[in-house]
Amino acid sequence: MTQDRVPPRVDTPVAVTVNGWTLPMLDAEISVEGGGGGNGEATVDGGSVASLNASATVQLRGTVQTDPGKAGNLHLVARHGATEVARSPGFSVAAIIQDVVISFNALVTGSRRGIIVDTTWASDSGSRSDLDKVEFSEQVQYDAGSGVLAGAGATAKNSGYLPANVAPLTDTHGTPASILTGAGTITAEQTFIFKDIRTGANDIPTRNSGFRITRNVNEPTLGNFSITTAKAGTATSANGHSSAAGSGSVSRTQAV
Amino acid sequence: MHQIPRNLSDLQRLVDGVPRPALPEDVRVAERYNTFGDKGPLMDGHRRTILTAQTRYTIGDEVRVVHVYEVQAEGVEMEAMGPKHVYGEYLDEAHGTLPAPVGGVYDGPRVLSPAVDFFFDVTTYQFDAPGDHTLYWQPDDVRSNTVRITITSEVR
Repeated sequence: MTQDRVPPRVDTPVAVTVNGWTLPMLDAEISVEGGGGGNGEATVDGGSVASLNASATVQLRGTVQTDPGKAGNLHLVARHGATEVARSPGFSVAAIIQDVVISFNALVTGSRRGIIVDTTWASDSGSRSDLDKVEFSEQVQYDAGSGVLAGAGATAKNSGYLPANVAPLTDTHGTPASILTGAGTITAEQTFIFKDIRTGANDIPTRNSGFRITRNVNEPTLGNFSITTAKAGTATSANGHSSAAGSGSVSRTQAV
Repeated sequence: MHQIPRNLSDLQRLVDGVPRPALPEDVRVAERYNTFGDKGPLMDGHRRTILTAQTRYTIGDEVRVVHVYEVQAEGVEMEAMGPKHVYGEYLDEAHGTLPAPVGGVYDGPRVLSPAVDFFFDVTTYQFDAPGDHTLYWQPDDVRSNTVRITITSEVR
């Protein structure tokens, strides 16, 4: 389920059309109604009312996020004098997760080979603390693989929902060294989805959260194998959830 | 203590290898874990436990088995992704599921113990004759509790 919402702290442009205004008519007054009581609050052009005598784009800015269970009770309303002339569908104020970024943290060693990457993300409000009612889930989907990695894709393909206001998350991309006895490849696609408890929106693809994880096992010298584990932002889809590319690229080659 | 997944309502099962939401009755069985009196024995701070909704079934009933892996020892990296395939489950001392493989790739977050991992597939069994059966889960050295079930021909 998707919900109309605007983020807090930042402006959301809204086009307002005014037709037939002439002097000495009163200006049209644009305001947000339904604020308070947990419904959330928002301003129009930085104040409670914007006066217009011609079509314009006003800036809607959330100032207080909507409480869970109170979604969709805010309306942008246009009045001419005492007469209501237009009313928007209900909306909420809620921040969402976007723009996932990865960076190298460490190598996986011991009985496995691979990389550990730090994963961070942003709030569309500009402040990750606003994501206190947002949870995200990693989605991973494997191809068939080839060689020694044929069929090595895990059955575990999602992380369950995790809190979005706590970062970084550390992702491990590991392969058992014991199976690296020949050439092979496998590719995994990864995206994030989120749910927003404020609006009740569930399983929504996260903007710019796509990554591709590749493993390539080679034999640089006879009988000696190496594995290159790489993760890079790419537009992709996992378990039916599509996203534009996340940011960052990590690649490391290790002897087996 | 951490819980995997954070919310039991996020539990899933595998349907032809594809994750699907867990059945509500399986979630209810998982919710019994904390107060379950017959958890598997602790071995070096690790334990496995299997739970079923009941211990008496009628012929043809689906016996659904929920799996829990608890690590009380501190600092063990546990895989947060799921639903994990269940390997090494034994029905009447024979393999009910495949033996644990050498291992596959893993991509996702890890959680440092102490933690309880519920994020496993649910295994199912059906019986076509009355009798008593035992089930346990032992993919490695850590063996679960043994669940004893009775299949009857009674019509409920």
